[in-house]
Amino acid sequence: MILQRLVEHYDRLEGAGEGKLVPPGFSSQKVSFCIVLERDGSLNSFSSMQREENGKWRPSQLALPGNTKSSGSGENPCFLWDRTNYLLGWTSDPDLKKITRAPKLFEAFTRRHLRYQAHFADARYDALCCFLKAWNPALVEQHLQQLEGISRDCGVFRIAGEQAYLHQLFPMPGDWDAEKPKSKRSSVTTSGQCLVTGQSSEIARLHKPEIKGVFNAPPRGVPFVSMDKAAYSSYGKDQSHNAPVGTVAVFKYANALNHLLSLRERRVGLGDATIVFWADHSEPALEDCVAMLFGNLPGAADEDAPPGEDKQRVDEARVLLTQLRDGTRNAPVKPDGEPTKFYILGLSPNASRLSVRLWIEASAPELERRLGEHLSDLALKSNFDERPLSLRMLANATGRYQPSGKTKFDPKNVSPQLVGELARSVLTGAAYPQSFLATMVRRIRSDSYVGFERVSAMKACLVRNSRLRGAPQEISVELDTQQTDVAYRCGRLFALLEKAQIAALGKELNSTIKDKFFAAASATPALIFPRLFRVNTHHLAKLKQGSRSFYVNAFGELMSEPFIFPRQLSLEQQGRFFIGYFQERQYRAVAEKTISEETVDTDE
Amino acid sequence: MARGVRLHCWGDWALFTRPEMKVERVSYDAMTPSAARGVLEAVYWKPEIRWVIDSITVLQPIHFTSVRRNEVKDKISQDTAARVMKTGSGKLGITAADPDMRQQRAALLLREVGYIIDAHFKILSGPENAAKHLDQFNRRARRGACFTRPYLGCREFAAHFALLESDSVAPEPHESLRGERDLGWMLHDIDFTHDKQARFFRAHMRDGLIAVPGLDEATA
Repeated sequence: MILQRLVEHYDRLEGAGEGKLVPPGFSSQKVSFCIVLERDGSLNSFSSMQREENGKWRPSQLALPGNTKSSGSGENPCFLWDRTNYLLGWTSDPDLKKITRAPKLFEAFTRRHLRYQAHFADARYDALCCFLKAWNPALVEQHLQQLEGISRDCGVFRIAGEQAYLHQLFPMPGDWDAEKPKSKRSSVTTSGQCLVTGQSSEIARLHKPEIKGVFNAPPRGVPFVSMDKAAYSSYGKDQSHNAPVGTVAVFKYANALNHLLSLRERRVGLGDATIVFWADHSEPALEDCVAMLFGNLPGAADEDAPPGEDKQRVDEARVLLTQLRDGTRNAPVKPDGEPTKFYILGLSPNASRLSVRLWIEASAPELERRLGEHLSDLALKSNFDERPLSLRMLANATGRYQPSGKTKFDPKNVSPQLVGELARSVLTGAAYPQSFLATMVRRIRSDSYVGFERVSAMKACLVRNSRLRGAPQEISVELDTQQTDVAYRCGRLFALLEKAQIAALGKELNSTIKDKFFAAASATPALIFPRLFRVNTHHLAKLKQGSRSFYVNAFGELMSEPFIFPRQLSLEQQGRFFIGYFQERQYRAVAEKTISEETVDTDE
Repeated sequence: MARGVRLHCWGDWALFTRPEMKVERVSYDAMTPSAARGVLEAVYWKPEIRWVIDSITVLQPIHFTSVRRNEVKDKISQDTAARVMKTGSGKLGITAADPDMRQQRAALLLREVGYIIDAHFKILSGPENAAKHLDQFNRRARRGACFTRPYLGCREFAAHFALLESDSVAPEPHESLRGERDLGWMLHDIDFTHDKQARFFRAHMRDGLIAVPGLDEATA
C-alpha cells in the first residue's frame, strides 16, 4: 500500500502542477554554479546558484535531465550539466589522482556534446560547442577567484541575457547513454506484473532515485527497496526482481517520497525515525495540526512565506487542536463527498537500508477523533500558559530534570524509540507504550520534579489504560475534592503537609519534607505519613491561629472519608499520587495568593 | 461444495511479508492466499492435490507493531552442502552470533490475528476420489494433526487451527472491519509453472471477507 499511495500522490501532485516535482526522465540534483556564455561561445562569467538558508549558503535543487551519476571510475558525462571535472577539466579536490583524471573527463564531455551539434543545429548549442572546443583546463587559473566556494556541486549552462538554462531548452537525446559498456547497462529487460499498478510492464532491476532526507541515513541516498545480500533473495531472483515493480512506478514513488522528505514541514524527526505525512486532498489546517502535535511549528522553515502568515497558521492549528480536544470540530468534506484520507509513514535508517516503522492510513474524521482522544486524555489545568504539548516534549520529559542546563530535561536518557511509539499510539488510538508510565514515575521519584508535562503524561496513560481495559476511570483536569481514590488523596495530603512546613519554617529551609520523603511517601505511605503528621504538629504550633485553623480544616476535609494508609502503592497508584500532589499545589497557588511564602516556582 | 473446507486459524503474531519490503519486513494487512495455502498444506497435502483458496475472512482488527531482530545475511551455499554430504563431516551452520554474518532487520508485523480460510482442492493425478482426500483432511484437522506446524507468514509465528464443520457457527468478524476496504494489490501466489513469477490480485475486504480470484485471473 505504501508504494501505491506514493504513486497516487505523485499523480496528484503532477496533476496539480506542483513546481518542485521531478518530471519523468529527470532527477533532482544540487546545483551550485552556472557557466554563463556569450552568444559567440566565449565565457562571460561564473555565477553562483546558491541560496541562503538559515545563514548558510546551500546549493539549489534543480530538476536536470538524466539520472543521478552512478559511482565508479567510468566516464559518464551528463547532458548539459555535470561537476567541474567534466565541465572544466579541473577539480578543487586536492587528491592527485582526481586532478590527473579531470582533463580526460572534460574531453569525454566535449566529445559527447559535439557529437550532437548537428542534431540540434541551434545557435545556442553551437555557442556551447564553441566554448567547449576553445576551453583548456589550464584557463581555470584565471577564474579561480570566481569559482571559489561555488564549485563543490554541479553546474549548468546559460547564455548571457537569457533566462532559461541550456538544459531546459534542449531535450536529452534518447541514445545519450548508448556508449555505456554493456555490463553497466541493464540491457536485459524483464517484464512481469508490477505489484503497484497490477499491469504487465518492464520491471526495474534497481530502484532509483534513492531516497534522501531521512535523518541519520547516508546523505547520498538509500534505495527504498533493495535486496543486496544473498539471504534476501528468494526463488532464484536477484536484486529487485524479488519484488517486481514497474520502472514507471519506481520513478513515481521514489520521487514522491523524495519530494515529501524535502518539505521541511511535512517531515518530522521523532526519535530515531523520520515521519512524513500527506493527505489525498489539500487540508492545510489538519496537516499543520499533526505537524504541531509532532513538535514542528508550521511555517517555521518556509522562507518564502511572510512572517505574518506563519503566525496565522500557528494560531489556526492551535484553535483546531483546542477544538479537537473539546470535541467541537466539524470535519470538512471534500467536494466529492468522500472524507479526506491521511497517510503517515515513519522511516528509520538501518545500515544502508530504510525500515518502515510506522504506516497509518486514516480518514480525516478518524484521525481527528484519535487526535482529540489523545488531547483530552492529556488535558490538565495549569496556572501557566497552556501550550499544547507536543510528543517531543512528552518524550523528553522522561529525561532527567536539569534546572540550569541548556534544555529543561537531559536528552541523554530518553529512549529514541519512545517518541516513535508514542506517535503510533496517538495515531492508531492504541495504548501508550507500557514503559512510558513506568519511566515517568521512576523519573519523578529520582529527581522529584513534578512538572506539567510529566503529570499530563501520567494522567493520559492512566485514563487511556483504564479505558482500553473496559473500565474507564475519569481523572479530572483540575483538583477534584470529591475524589475518593486513596492514592490521589495521599498525594494531596503530602502537598498540604509540605505547604504547612514551608509556612511554619520559612523559605530558608535547607530541605523540605519533599526533598527527604517524597519518593518514599509515594511508594510506602503507611510508613512515612505517620512520621510526617508527627512533625506536622510542631509546624502547626509555630503558625498563627488563622493559618493553623486553615490547615486543620484542610486536613479534616481531606480525611472526611476515613482511610487507612496503604502499605504499598502500585505503579498506577503512584501515578495518581503525583497527580493529586500536583493538582493540590496548583489549586492552593491560585486560591491562597495572600500567603507570601508561596513558592510554587519549581513547578514551571 | 463437495471439495470445500473451512479452517479457522489464529495466532498471536503474523507476518505476511510484502515482496517489496522483504528486507525490512512489512506485513500485508491480511493473510495472503499463498500463506493460506501454506496453512492447509501443513495440515494435509499430497502431490496428487492442489489447494485453491476461495476466500479469506479476517476476524480480528488489524493492529501493527514493530520489532527488531538479529538475522543472518547469507545462505548456506550449495557447494558447501554438497561437500559436507560427500565427506560426511563439516561445518554448515551460520549463526547471528557471528558479527560478520549478523544483520539487524526491523519488521512491522500483525498482532492478535484470526482468519477463516475457505478453500477447495483440485485433483491433479491419481484416482478421482475427492471424498477420500476431503475425509482425510477433515479427520486430521479435527484431531489437530499436521505434517509441520502451520504458520502465519513466517515459520516462527505458529498458528492454531480448528476445523469449521458445515453445521457449526463460524466466528464473526470484529465490528471495526465492517464496511469496504481496499487493500491494494496483494500477492496471490508464486506461479511455479512460469518461471516462479509472483502474481498479484486486487484485494477488497467487505465486512472482513476477501474474495480470492483464481490464479489464472490474477495474471495481468
